[in-house]
Amino acid sequence: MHEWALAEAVISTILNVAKEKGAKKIIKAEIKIGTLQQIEVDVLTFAFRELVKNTPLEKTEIKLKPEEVYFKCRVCGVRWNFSNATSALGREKSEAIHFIPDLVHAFIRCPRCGSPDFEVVGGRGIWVEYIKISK
Amino acid sequence: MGRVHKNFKVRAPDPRLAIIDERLKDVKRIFVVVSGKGGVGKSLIATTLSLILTKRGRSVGLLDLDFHGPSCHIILGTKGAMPTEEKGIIPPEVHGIKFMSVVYYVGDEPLPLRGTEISDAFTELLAITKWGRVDYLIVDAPPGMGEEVLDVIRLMERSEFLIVTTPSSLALKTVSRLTRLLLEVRAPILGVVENMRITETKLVEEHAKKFGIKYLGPILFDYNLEECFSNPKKLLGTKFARNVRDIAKKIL
Ligand SMILES: Nc1ncnc2c1ncn2[C@@H]1O[C@H](COP(=O)(O)OP(=O)(O)O)[C@@H](O)[C@H]1O
Ligand SMILES: [Mg+2]
Ligand SMILES: [Zn+2]
Repeated sequence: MHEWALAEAVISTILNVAKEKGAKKIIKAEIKIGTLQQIEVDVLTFAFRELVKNTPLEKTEIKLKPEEVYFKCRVCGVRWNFSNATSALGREKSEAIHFIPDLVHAFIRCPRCGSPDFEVVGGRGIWVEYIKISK
Repeated sequence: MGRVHKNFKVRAPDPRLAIIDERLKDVKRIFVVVSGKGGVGKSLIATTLSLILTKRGRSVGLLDLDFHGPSCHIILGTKGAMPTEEKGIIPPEVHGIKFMSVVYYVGDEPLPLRGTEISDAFTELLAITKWGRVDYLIVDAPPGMGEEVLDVIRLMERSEFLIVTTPSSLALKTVSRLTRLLLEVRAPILGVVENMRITETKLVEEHAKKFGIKYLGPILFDYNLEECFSNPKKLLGTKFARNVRDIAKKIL
């Protein structure tokens, strides 16, 4: 249920931006969900539905889009993808990454050279790609 | 004249930033224990201060922000405590302190993070941790003046800084740089603590005078600390704790 905390953050941001821009209506918001964090989309969707009640977002179309994550080794340059690397991690480590994605650095190494010094590219967390408003 | 309806696509900032103030809204005061220098006693002071305030009936949160070398859990003794999930992360109470650290998740594994990754991890932690009602949130900072300290200044605007040094010109050189930085960004400074005093010198008092900050007094070198780790009761009975109590009086 920590998805709820993320949904709260997203909603606050959208409301802040809409206010700042003087939006009359918030038509749509596209939310990107990085695959690294393994967010439960059902739970997130439920949280959004509850949280938008009685806010200017009640009628807004909230679109959730996954964004693939991959890793890139800073030492040897190899790229690899997340699902191969983490399927063997087990529940506790997956959960750690679920809460704080950057903790992946404690658990994964470059498959070619063994370095812990790699970059998380693409889908690290959750963010608002854009919002569509009318003035 | 027809009315023009216009739709705009606009960008939005990092959503985590929008929720941090909300997460900290029931935290009355935030004390950040800093130095610039490592090994001067920040973690021990942060943890002992947390225990002292708890003992006085205050509600206290303790955040170990040293991702590379977390220590507060060793001093406290966390024994299998784990955060719970409830629309966010709720820190467990360890000896009455709401204690948060990455140690719950990474254990003894090294956590090799670069600067931006530290900043991301910290931002995430602040965005999901639900401290609830807390009188004092004590933050144990790592050495240096990198991401953690800069992010505390940026993301936890109400922070008040407790500077720790040893009475050595080696430590004070670095501590002076940090003091200058804090003064430059107009961060509130509670004062400077002289830790591990063995013989009497005026070095730290002079430092305080030079920068116009409060000298909070000495903590004497205490030979018996090692055996007090994971034993708060014993730790609170040390001369070290007595000195920290005197300092607490001056900052509350
Ligand atoms: N007043 C003191 N007397 C004796 N040892 C101390 C004192 N303060 C700190 N120490 C010891 O110094 C070491 C470094 O302390 P620590 O709190 O980890 O420093 P920091 O967090 O600044 O790196 C620890 O072993 C600690 O027990
Ligand atoms: Mg420390
Ligand atoms: Zn490599």
